[in-house]
Amino acid sequence: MGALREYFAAIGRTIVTLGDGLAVTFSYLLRKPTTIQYPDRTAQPVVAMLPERSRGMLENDVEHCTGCSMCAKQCPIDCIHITVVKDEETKTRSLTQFDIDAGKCMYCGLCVEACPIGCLRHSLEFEGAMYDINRLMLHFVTEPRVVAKPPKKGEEVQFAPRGSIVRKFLYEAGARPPSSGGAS
Amino acid sequence: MPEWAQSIMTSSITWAVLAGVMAYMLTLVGIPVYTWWERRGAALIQRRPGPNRRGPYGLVQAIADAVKLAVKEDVVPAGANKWMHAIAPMIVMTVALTTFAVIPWSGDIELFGKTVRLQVADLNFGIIFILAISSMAVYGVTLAGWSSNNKYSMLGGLRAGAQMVSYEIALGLAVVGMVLVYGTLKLNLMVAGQEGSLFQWGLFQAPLAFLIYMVATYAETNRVPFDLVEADSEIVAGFHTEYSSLRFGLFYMGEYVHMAVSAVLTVILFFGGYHVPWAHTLFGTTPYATLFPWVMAALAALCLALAWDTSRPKRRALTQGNMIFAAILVAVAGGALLLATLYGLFYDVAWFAALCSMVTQVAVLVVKFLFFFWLFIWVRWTVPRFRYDQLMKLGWKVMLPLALFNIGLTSVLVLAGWL
Ligand code: SF4
Ligand code: SF4
Repeated sequence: MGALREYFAAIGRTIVTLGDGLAVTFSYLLRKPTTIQYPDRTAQPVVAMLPERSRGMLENDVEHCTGCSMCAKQCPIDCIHITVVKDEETKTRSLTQFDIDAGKCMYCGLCVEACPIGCLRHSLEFEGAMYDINRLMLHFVTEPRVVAKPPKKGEEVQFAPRGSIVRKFLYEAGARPPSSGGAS
Repeated sequence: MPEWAQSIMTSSITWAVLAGVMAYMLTLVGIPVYTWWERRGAALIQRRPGPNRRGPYGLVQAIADAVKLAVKEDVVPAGANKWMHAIAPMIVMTVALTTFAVIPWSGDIELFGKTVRLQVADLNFGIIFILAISSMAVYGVTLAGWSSNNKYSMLGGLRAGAQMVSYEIALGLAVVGMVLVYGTLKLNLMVAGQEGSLFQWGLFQAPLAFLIYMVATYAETNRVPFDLVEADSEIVAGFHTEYSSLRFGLFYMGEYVHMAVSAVLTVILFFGGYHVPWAHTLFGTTPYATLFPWVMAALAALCLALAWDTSRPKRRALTQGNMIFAAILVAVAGGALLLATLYGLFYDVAWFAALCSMVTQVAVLVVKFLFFFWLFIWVRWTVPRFRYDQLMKLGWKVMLPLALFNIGLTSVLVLAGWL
């Protein structure tokens, strides 16, 4: 008899708990959404609301890059391509290529950790949608330039504002302007 | 009214065609709306806005989805059995649509001395027809799983086979209970049996059967919590993993059509079909005709409220096409009010009043139907999926004995004359 009672009690419990569950989900249905509508109904541009340490698309301030290739060696998926040419006459080394394939990069940040200068860093930009994935190959060096000397001890290096470099690239490559923010 | 118009209006073919149109409206035309509804309901339950960018309330999103499905590449996997692979989705869809044939959308009305009803086929074994046809859906699902040459599909197909067969028994036995209560296999007579007070409804006549029926229905339609057939976290998409483009679309639509059939059938078996409880005591001898202007007024009010909401500047800033949508809604509201006025003028013209009462009945059925459709979505975002062994245990150890017990109980009650 006990088993039978348990059997029907279980059926009763099923109905009650099912009702409980449905009531919970229904109450959620009536509450205000907690998510923010991306991209055009945020209080500010989304990039401005990201935390300081978030890892957006990479950018290299080539003016200060020494061409040491530490970053390229660190990258686990080889998406940084660096070519340094040595001029035998003037004994100068110049950077002829510094490409980052942002379409492949997984934003692990190993390259940034490796960079002794700090010229390679994450920006906060992330809206890099393109019609052609090859456009995400960001060419930071357009014409050969002599590599920078490492800064002396105690010397402060002034980098370009964070994000300004990669944003220029993105526009040239055809990304849509960043979300306006604050609209409507 | 000329002779030929009378003969058209009283011809059973006319009403069969109209009933078919009705079924298509609720299924094929409704599917884009249902998908939108499902996504929106899911989103709101999870406290996010959901699709709301394309068209007012994001409604155009559904059409965009449909177009996307239609123009996608149709891939047939290597090693698949091409014929079976092509036929499987057709079986699912055809089976789901066929069951609509016996659904009565309205009660009998008198037109020029003849009795007509909005029903495609008045089979005298109506409910058996539905059970027989819908149990063939399992062939579509299993064939799809088998012919795809994919292990996940295979698993999905196998699960479908086991699950649908085991729950069909409980479903059939629950329906047997209802057949005992109503003493008929005809669906329209079943609905007729629920006329009168609220307690005439199948729900109150046989609550246990309702419980079994609901659970088995969810299992039959492969909806959560019984969606092991396509459990996306376990076997990718189950039986339709290898389907793309419109063939996938057929499965997808088949699922919704199946849900629609189940929802309609739930209403017909347990929730009084097209009847309003206490209609005769509350609204006189021709309750549905009397209710007609109120139904139309309610429709107009709903449309106007929606139109007002969409045309608010806040909504207009969100989406495009709001004013067109609002204009359509206002037009619908106007039409409804016009019909209500016409009823006020011509309510003593017998055939017009009869048609009006039919419209009311269909409206009542559709409102109940929409609630049960919503229940599918609601439950989907409430209950987690069963494990396979739990599913089988529930099916064979709980549902089956319960259904048998229900038959025994109902028989005794019917014999004792209490039902
Ligand atoms: S973030 Fe990681 S993946 Fe991207 S370039 Fe740097 S090392 Fe490579
Ligand atoms: S970005 Fe940094 S690590 Fe990479 S080559 Fe330049 S200085 Fe070296």
